[in-house]
Amino acid sequence: MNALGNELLVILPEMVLVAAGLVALVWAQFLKERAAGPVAGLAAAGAALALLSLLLVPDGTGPVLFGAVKADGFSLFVRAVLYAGALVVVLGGAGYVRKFQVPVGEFYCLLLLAIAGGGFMAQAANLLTFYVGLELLSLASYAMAGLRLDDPDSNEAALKYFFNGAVSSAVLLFGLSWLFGLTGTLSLAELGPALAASGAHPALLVMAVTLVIGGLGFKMAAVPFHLWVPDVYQGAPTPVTAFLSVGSKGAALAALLRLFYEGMGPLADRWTVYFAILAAVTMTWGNVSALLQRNIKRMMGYSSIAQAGYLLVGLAAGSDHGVWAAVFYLLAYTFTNLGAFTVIMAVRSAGGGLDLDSFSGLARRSPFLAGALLVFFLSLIGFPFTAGFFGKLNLIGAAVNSGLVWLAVLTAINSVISVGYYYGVVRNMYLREPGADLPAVSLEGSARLATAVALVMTLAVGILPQFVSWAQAASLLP
Amino acid sequence: MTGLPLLSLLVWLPLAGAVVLMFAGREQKSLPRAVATVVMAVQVVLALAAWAGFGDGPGFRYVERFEWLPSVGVTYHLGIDGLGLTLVALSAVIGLIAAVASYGIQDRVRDFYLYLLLLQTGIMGVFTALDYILFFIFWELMLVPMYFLIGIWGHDRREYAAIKFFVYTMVGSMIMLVSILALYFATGAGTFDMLAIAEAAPALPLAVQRLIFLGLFAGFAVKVPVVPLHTWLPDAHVEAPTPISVILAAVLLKAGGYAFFRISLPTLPEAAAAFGYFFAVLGIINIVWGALVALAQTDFKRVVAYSSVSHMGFVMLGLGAAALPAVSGAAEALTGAAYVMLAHGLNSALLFLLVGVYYDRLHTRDLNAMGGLFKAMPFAGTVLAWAIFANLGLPGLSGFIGEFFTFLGAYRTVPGLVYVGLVGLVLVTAFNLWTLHRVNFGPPNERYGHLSDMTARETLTLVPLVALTTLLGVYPGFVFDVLNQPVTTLLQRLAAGF
Repeated sequence: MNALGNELLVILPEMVLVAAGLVALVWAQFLKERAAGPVAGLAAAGAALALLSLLLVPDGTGPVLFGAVKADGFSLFVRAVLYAGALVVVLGGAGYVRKFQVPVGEFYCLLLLAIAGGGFMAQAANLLTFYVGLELLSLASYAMAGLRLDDPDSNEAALKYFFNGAVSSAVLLFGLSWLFGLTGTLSLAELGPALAASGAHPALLVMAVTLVIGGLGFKMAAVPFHLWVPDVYQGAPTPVTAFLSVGSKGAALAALLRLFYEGMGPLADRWTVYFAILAAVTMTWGNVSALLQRNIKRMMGYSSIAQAGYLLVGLAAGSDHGVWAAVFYLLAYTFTNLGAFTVIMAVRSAGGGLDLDSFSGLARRSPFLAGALLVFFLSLIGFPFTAGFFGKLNLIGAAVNSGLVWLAVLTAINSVISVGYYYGVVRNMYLREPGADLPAVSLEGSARLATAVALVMTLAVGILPQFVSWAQAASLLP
Repeated sequence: MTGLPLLSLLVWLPLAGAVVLMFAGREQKSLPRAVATVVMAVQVVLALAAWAGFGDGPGFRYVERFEWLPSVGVTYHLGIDGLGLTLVALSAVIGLIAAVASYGIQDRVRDFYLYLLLLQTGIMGVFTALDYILFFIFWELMLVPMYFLIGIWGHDRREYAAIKFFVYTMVGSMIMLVSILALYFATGAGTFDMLAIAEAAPALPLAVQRLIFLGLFAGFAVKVPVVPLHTWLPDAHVEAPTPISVILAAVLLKAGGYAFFRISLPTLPEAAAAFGYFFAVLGIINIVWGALVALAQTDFKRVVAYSSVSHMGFVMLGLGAAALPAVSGAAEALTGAAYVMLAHGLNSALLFLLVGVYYDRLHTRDLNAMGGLFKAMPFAGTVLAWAIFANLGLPGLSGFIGEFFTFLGAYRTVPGLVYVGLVGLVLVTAFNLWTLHRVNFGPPNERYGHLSDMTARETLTLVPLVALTTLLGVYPGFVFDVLNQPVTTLLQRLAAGF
């Protein structure tokens, strides 16, 4: 029993999240109209507690709980990023939830369940855990996308997301079953050796890998599995969009790294080429499409597609360097993107629209918000003094180190292309006069805290050296 | 001054000033001006202190070095040699003058000075960083404030000019970043330290060296700017407000030349030798093309902008000639190139300030609408004549020394090109004199009525520059003294590569 207790410590953070989520659901029914504030506080406390309880997780624990999960540096790092991200989403989205009357209990419950699912994906030691985690994350996300019950766009988003997602989950499951069929094992640790020993026809492996990439590529919003992104990002409530852009993407990245780098590391030379192509197409398509958008949520949707492309560069490198570069970029991207979404939510909640003109003269109306958004955009571009710079530097470095100079150059070129659309917003904020009908934007307490946290992290990750060391410690193989 | 982290102060003091301004009221006017002026004045004092305590002998001075990201080999490494010293001093002086010259700005004063101070941190960082990542960070840091300074406070086509400047530089610097990473991994030195990489890089295969050299060239050449990558320059210079044009021309353009001197040549000497002739040809094209286009302009500010393109050609010519294997002349060519950077910094600042002086009174920059202004503004006219003569390279003023030594040194290795360059020099003289003529002489244009001569503040910004440009012309020795050491060191490195 004591041994089981120790083993349960590994998933303590997820238990905290699920418990907080369920309590939130019930409590909200009792509080009715007064629910928004207290339940948001509960959800924030749950996320914060989950983050803190990671400290109790015994590091370096091998597969436990009947081989379902493991607590290595990688899972701790990714979970920390995910839970901190969830905290920022809760804080930053509270105002929006109240203003647009998103069902409170459902929203926070689903959000915490989804993030717990992501946490399971990051610590999966076995294909089944990994798939169940993904389903928990996905089903919660579909429902969240449709939470603005009276808004047809939101309903459309949920429906599109669900149908596409169901198909992609099936494709993923099919791919996993192929892997199981080829090797006879569900354990990630045994997958690689078993594949190497099985002597299966290469075409079979290609088939399995293609299906898995298709399924997870959907979650990560990689091109050509991205078609759901613009509509869902635009239609879903903005806090949900913020969560999808970092939570889903981060969990999917963790899953890909686990499955391919940890599970099929010895066969790296067979699959890196797919990821190199996927990364190249994704970042370029995302950036070029973002140039054409007039709605900021659609723009951020395509921007997040491009960011998925950058993350995949780490996988394409197929090295320890690539792995830690990717998770480090995930850390940088999470805080940066959430910060940007918090500002967008503040502008929206203040009564502004979502087209780019709503940002005209924001530097005059609320200089702090404009300055913060500027820093976040610079970080998304990869500008020095921000987290995004070191993130991209490491990714480009990993690519060069693995001999993928063309991909490194393409990543650099894409950074320049992305200036084009972020620039449109910055120009409106700083160089254009505010229109007479645009309101002054003020931040309420929790959103101010969320923006400040994101801002501080975006700058700190770009300046302090500790974060790199932590990411390096998170490399999968010693 | 021992014990004081002189360079860190130079780099971070402006940033501290900017942070202070961040908390100042948005409508404040005199406070931001005061803060910026004090910071820039302290910078001048620090730069003078650095010059005074510089001493003789090889190597970098005022070095500060500690680990920053030890796991990837990034260090916080600052240091200057003689070339860095001259450019730091130039940046400090120009910074102070720009701060004073900006008193006329009335709109969003606090934001203006905030960006100006941020820009100064970037500039000082570029000229003192001895670590590639640090260098790149400062290099990019110059970009954002400059974008806003042009984009918010510029003239009619400011948005276009600002984003064009941003995109050109960004494309170049991204290619440069990949080259830096290639250098890091190819040498396998496990560090981004410039000096350590410079030790390891010459051992690389020549083909790799050449590729990396070209990648770095893309980043630096945009900044210089080398024709045909120069088209951002006239737009940015013309649209920027006067003090920003001054900083752009006087200091930012030097970052490109400095980077060739500090990075490309010493780190990849063999590749530099292979591309030396290419550099020299580009330099000649810059000189001739810049002068020809300047002749065709009717906008006063555009003339000065293209004059910058022309002068940067001397820097490229000097660097190229020195990189080629030669029996002699390399030292003269290099010293000449470095001297041109300094002299052009002062001259272009003078000329842009003067353009501002005339524009504030006439509200036009059209040279054809000027004429006979000497009568109304004799003092401004005299200073203009002085600046024009310095700019065209009249002996006794600063422009002459650098150009003369560049040609003298280059003649030993690329005599054919120098003859072409001499033709260019005639064109340079022509557009300078013609500009002077169109502003000062001829029948006065009646429509302007009464024009006041320069104000005390304008005089205050111009006179130090006139004094310095004259000092550099008649007593170049004190600059040669500090330039001698980096030039010798670089030549030894280049010679080892042959």
